[in-house]
Amino acid sequence: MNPSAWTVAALIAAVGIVMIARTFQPVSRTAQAESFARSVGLALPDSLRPVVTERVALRRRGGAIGLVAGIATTSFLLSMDPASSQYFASPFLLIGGAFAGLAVGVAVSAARASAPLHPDSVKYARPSAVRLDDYVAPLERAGGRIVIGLAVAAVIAAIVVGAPISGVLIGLVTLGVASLLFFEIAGRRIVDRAQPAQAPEDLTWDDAVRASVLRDMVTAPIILGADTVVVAGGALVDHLFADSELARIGIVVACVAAAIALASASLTSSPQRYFLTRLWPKAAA
Amino acid sequence: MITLDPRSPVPPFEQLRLQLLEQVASGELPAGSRLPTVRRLAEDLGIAPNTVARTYRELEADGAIETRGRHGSFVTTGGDAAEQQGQRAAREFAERIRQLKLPADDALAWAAAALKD
Repeated sequence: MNPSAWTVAALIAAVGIVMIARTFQPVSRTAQAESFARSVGLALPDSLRPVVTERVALRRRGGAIGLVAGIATTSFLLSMDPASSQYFASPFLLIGGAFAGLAVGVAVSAARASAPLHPDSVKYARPSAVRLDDYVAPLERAGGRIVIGLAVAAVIAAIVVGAPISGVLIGLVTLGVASLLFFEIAGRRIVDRAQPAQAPEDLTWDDAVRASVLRDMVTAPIILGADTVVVAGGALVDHLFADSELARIGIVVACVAAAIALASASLTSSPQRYFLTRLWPKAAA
Repeated sequence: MITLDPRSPVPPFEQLRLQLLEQVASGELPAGSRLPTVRRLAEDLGIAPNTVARTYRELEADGAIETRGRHGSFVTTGGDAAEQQGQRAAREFAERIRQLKLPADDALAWAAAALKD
């Protein structure tokens, strides 16, 4: 890998390690739980504060461990490629690998979370089945599929026109498709998991944590797909419009505009509260 | 929401059956709603899967739900269409009153007066 790629890898790993450390500090754990409550628009009752704080910390720790593992694995695989020092796009793959690791980490943390029921307590359950669509906003769910579809199309187009295909591009598109499949399969498994509850609030908060895990998971294919489109698009533009600086600038501007439009749509639609409107409309009102 | 009280003298099967029937009748579980799988509801409530399976069988025999193979169990779409629409309108009215934070008693009085007009 080249020095810029090593710098990106080291920075991401450092962020991950700080995130892991913060999940062990009581002050940080409390602040993270309160921040999470604010982001989903729910009041955090004192009775649930310890449980929610623990769940939020577990999710963040799982994600951070996954992020560090993802960046370490991607760096190792890249450094195995003798040509990697010539890949200008290595940081894209490193960032994508980190998000893929984060997705696996939060999924593992969600699979390990459990809330044992007291045998004599009153139990609560939702009378209707839930689906992945109840937790992840259509913009994000469809966004992942569309961006990965565009990424695959861009790579195929690059191959068809004979543009140079680097190991980074192959890694990005492979990881992108794998992360989308992982989200679709593991996400359903998470949604199908039991939600033992001794109060309706238990169920609401379990839904909140579950939704945040699934949103973290769907971010990986979106990032990897976008990275692939940028790298494959760059290869295509270099190959097709090598003599036209204007065309190259135009493509870059179009990519930036698309990213800004997607980010704006995401921010204005409050996807972190989407599960409330689907599953707890009274709380969302 | 389904609640199950293990200390109740009413057996879990009956508690579950009555609540699901009530929610189907009230429209809280509208026609076409998919019920949780037997295993999932049993795990949620901490009861044996056989208890949930028996409840679903009884509800199916009553015509309240139907099983569509591997797709799961659904609230039946039969029944009086006009009555269902009336129930939906009532739920929407109640939801709007809650959003406006108006007293329920006043809302009921307005609805009663409107129906007499």
